[in-house]
Amino acid sequence: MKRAGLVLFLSLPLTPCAGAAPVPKGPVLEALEKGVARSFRLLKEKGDPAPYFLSYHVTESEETSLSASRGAVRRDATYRTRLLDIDVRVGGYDLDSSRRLRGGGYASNRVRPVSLPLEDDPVALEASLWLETDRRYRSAVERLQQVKADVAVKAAADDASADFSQEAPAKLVEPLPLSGVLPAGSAEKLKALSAVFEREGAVLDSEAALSVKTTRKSFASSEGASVQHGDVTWRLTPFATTRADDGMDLYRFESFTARTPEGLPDEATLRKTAESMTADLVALRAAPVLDPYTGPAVLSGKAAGVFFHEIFGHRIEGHRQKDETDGQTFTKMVGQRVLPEFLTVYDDPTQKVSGSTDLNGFYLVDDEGVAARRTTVVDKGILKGFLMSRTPVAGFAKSNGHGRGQPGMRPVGRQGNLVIEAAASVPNAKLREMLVEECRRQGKPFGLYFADISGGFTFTGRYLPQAFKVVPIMVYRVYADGRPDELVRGADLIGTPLVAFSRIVAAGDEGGIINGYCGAESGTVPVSAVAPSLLTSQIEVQKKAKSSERPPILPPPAAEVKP
Amino acid sequence: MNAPRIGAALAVAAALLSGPIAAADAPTPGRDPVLSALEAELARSVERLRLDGVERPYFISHTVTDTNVRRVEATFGAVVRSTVEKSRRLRTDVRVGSYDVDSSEFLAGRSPYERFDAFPRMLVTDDDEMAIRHEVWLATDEAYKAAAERLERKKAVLANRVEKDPVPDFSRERPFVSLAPRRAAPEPGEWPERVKRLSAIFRELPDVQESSLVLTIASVNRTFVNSEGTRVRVPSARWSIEVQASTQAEDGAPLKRVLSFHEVEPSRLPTEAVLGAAIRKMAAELSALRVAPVLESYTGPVLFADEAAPTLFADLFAPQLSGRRPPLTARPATGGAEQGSDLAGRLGRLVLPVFLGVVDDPTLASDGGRTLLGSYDVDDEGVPPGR
Repeated sequence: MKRAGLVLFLSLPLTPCAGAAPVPKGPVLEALEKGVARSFRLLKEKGDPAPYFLSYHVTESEETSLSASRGAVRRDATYRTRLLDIDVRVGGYDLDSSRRLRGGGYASNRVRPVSLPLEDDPVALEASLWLETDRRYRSAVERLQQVKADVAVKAAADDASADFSQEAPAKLVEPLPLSGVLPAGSAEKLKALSAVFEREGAVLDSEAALSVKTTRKSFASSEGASVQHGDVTWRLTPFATTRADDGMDLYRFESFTARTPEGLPDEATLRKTAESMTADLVALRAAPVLDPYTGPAVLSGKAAGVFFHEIFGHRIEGHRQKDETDGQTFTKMVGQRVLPEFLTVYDDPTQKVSGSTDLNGFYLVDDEGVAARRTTVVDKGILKGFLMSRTPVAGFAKSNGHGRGQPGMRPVGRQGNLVIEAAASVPNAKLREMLVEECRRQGKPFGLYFADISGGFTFTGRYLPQAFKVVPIMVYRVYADGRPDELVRGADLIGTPLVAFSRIVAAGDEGGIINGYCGAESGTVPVSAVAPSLLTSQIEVQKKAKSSERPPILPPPAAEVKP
Repeated sequence: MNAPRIGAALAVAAALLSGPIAAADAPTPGRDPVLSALEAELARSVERLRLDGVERPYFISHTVTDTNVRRVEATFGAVVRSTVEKSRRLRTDVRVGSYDVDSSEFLAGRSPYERFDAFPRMLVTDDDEMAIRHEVWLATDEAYKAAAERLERKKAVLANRVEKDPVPDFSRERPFVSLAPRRAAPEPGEWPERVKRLSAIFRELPDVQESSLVLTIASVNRTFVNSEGTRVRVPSARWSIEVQASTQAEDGAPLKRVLSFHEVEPSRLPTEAVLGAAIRKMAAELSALRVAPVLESYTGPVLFADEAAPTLFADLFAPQLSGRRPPLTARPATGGAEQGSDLAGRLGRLVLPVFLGVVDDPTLASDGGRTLLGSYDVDDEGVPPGR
């Protein structure tokens, strides 16, 4: 499930200089390596049964965020955390304490993270490590008993693969980034930007937010993994809402990311963006409501990116293929056609940029200490594999470096940079002509063009319909009779995955990039999706839920104050 | 139903206001943009807020809580977390109907989250009057529409129900004006360093497995206005040090001790030496608990000493005394969680041993030299308390 597709995030590992002296390990990684060695030795000697695997993962996050509304600061917050995740496993790679109990209902991936001292004080760090390790070890021992009982009592699982994959330990020590600091004058610039929305009386709530986040990760395991890396993300997000006369809430949301503050758009560009967002809102208020409709449509590259991320990407996450409560749309379809022949899909976390845009889902080592690899999931329409963490599934024994999670959540297979490539494409203008032809062929007066989509969600569980819904913001009617395109509002794109993919008929030569945050069972992780614009012969839209509120009764205060 | 129009009440308020504002405001140069914004939107709403075919509100109030919270948490001599949070929250109460029967105290039973829907709205933290007014405007509009709808549903339910002894929904109170000057957030001074040093004491105490010290400095400026003419501004501050330590008994039972100090100004907090001694004493108790015998089930006399006696009263007796009555619900079955007090209907009867009397006195600021945190000059509805 994913929320707010357009929240940008950017990862930056500082590139180690070639030929330079080796990067020194930071005090945290030093402490983790010592701690893993000591704890593992102690538990091997004294523990019965002894653990076979132990890892420490520390995520240090520092974020300053600033937001302004109507020319005034709304939020100015800074936080810094250093969270420890411990994975201690008892049993063996084939069967261990991490195995999910079957029929046990909802199993949470949440494991409480431990707050570590923010200062690099080895005594304080070590004390925290050992205490928590001991506690987790005890619960793992207890858990293994339950797992063994469960296996003995219940019918054999469909998927008899191991619990933990054997991997070569990653060794990657990069310099840790310095903390990003908002430059002087940021608040003033943000206030000025937020004041742009103030000029339009129909705007109800509005905000411009700026944040800089520095992340530093250190990982050490009993298998010998030793990883240290980090990134800095600058993010700027203007946001504005309005309400139509019939009570429908409407909004526009844009976002920009960069590795440096200079990489963000300049003030003039931002002002223009805010102005065009305001103009969009005014146009949306006046736009007609789209009635439920099925027919052909073109998804812009950005819209196609969200569409694929939600509807396809979440279904090829490895762990789902093993979970007997999951819908497992694609589990038994490896080697079979799941997409049109001209489409290839891969996920490549190691890809830093697409064109000149930084990709949000970039990383070199995943949260289980496994090196990230480009993974082809669909080759010329044929399903080839899944996005794997260290949890094997039938036929796929190894991780491909997609084990991801936020601190405090057990990592599972997740998307990084999902790329959809078309072997054959037509110019985008031609795609539009094809849409009009398709309308005529189907006898439809118009088709739809989805320019921008905010995000969406999908159900992958077995107990709910395998449906999806994505929430478009800017949708146009493209008329078969040549009338100009018409902006409409109030349409949610819905459907079921297998049908939706079988209707894709062509791809455009220009695409789009979605940089966002994706939320699922292992928490929120930064992701990207890169896709061409797509023509589909049939989509379905339903009416958007709307609030029954009317626009405010009194005019806004600003309208009543004489300057 | 005679719903007094708020216009009249406001005229009274204006008369009351003119003097005190100027005098109380003296230490803060210029006007208070929060108060000005609230008054401007209040005046506009009182005068003109009305949906066609719906009654206009008979009462509107706004509470703005400006908070600045600094927190420093230290463990084993190192700072684990250090944060400063600034926020400004708005709560708006709009009532439609009359003092006798209004839009409050009603659960339509449509959603389990209904009773939580009055989350405060986060306002801009800058002192920008127009930006504040904009959000107050939106909040008032939303609250009015919700109140009007709720009153209609409530009337429908009331029409089918016979109330035993109808009690008015809202009490009439005299407007109250008290505008203390806004206070800036205090500087933490030496305290973060002291807390860090104190947390290092646990390094010498191997029996303690986990420990933390948290310093919290909270300063709050609360502004309350209502359409009856009440205007209140109350600054307040809280300095707290909370110590937590835990370990395990030999049999594995978790053991935990907490120690806390709360004061309204830093000069009243204990010295570092006194705090250090208290922490060591607490750790010694924890060590003693590790080997203390386990109390099997017991029936018999108990002595509640020191803090145990007030805790017993505060936890078991006091909640029965609060004057909240259960809200009217559309479906009585869903009202289970909103039980009334066990003492309801026992007025004038014996509820405690004859030698005990209980009073609640918010006007008492200290007792035997110790600060009483429950003291206040005016409550959250702008009404001055009585003993």
